[in-house]
Amino acid sequence: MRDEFERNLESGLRLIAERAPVAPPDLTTRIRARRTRAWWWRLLAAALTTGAVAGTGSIVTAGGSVERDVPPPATYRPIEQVHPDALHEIPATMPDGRPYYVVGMIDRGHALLQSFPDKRAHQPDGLWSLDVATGLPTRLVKVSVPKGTVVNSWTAVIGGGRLAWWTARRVKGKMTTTFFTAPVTGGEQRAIAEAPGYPLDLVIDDGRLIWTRSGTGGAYEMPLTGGTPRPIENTEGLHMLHWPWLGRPAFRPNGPSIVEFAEIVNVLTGERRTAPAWEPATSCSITWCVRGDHVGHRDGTATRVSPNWAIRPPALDRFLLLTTPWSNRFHLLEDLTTGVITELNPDDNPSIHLRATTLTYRRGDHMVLVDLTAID
Amino acid sequence: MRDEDQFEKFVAGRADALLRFGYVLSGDPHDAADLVQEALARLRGSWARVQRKDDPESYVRTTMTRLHVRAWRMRTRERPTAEPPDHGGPDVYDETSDLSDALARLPRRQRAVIVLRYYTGLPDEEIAATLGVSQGTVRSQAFRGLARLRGELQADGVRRR
Repeated sequence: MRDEFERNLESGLRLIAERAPVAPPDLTTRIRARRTRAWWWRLLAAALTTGAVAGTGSIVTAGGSVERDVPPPATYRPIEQVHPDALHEIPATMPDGRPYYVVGMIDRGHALLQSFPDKRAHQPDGLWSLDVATGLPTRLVKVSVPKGTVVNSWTAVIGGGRLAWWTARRVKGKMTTTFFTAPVTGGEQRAIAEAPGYPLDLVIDDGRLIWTRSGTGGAYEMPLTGGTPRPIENTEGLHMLHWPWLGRPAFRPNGPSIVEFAEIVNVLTGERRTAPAWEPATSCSITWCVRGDHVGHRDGTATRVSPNWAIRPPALDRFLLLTTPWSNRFHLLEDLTTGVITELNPDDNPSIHLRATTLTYRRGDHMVLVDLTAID
Repeated sequence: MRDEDQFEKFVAGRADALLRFGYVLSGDPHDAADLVQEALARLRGSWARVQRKDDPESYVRTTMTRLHVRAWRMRTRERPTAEPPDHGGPDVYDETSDLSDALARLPRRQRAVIVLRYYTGLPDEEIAATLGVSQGTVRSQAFRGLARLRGELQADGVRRR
């Protein structure tokens, strides 16, 4: 007989499984091609020796024989050549060796960092401004959390001259969120309000803190100076795609598979968008939908086949990280707006999420920071 | 039906489920994809024999599990020095990030036993066969893995502080 913990463990594992990537439509082709991986490596090495071939797109087609199943490894222009102004070389750790996470850009010359006490910790202990020209961080806020905090793995947001973040704890058995702000120029943290539940996604817009709530969904707002949170009308059950667009993500294991964010609504204008051309196991952003290695507009137009399989919808409704048959890393950045694909040459496996405004990855003994908002 | 057609039909029907298993087993989408592709490539090479003697899905699951427990990688994948935590991107919409963190701290074999028992629903006898160990080892690994998870998580799966 299983106890409550074991039953929760079963359902928790099923929830985790729902975040797995979906199989690409040409999986059997790739399995056949897998035996020739060494051959492609040799070819790629030869291509790199003889000079890179610039490209702005590549189509994967399945041929008859094994050797034609995978296209020759096209090479792409390095991102530092294509977007030099958006790239910064920054230290791999804080000056004292502690790890950090790049939250986003404060301005063109400064990145906002979260610091962590050690490599295993997921609980941030400070917010810093990193001068990307010198690589030196300046502490903005020393973060402390209320006693009894159980959720402390937040991402700060920037807006209106303030930083904002949240932590959550149980109060009389119910999850309760505390919201904090601090000046973006640095200073003391200030708890501005408490609200039931805990938020997943938080933004600052027009002097307001806006968030959608974990589990039940629904958007709420509150003045950035504090006050009483209030629900935003007609947002019940919805989660944030990219403010002001809300919709329904696919995160429940027992219901039918759905197109993630198939129907979205702009809370400010009332505009609705659907994704009639896409089948379940698709993830959509505001404009684009991604399913395996197919990416296209919500209505199915402009659909193309990427060099390989992207597992997440595009960041900022624009940027996809791609892998290829000749790499296990997500080493290409595709700009869906322009069709340009650039080579990152990362020494680790970068990842970006829907609302990311920066991309970081390791190269050699430093990190590369790509300011996605600085790409024209 | 030709062997190759049968293999393709199997892949088309079961690939997503195997990817989900690989993801729960490894906690990493790239590792999950690698494990599935490698295990299916091996299945393809042994298709006629496996189909005659075994259940192909069980064969693939066993291959994936053993590869993962042996800390297999297609190539050594370096990890970043400043590895960012998962920061509430589109893949985090529930309280399972605490469970994911706790699972990531389990030794690979303990995690495999937990996943085979509580995700795949296999009895201990089949878990033992999958891992190539005794049932006693499965029971002790499950006991230790569960105790560790219980120590880190409350009954509802949220981390203790």
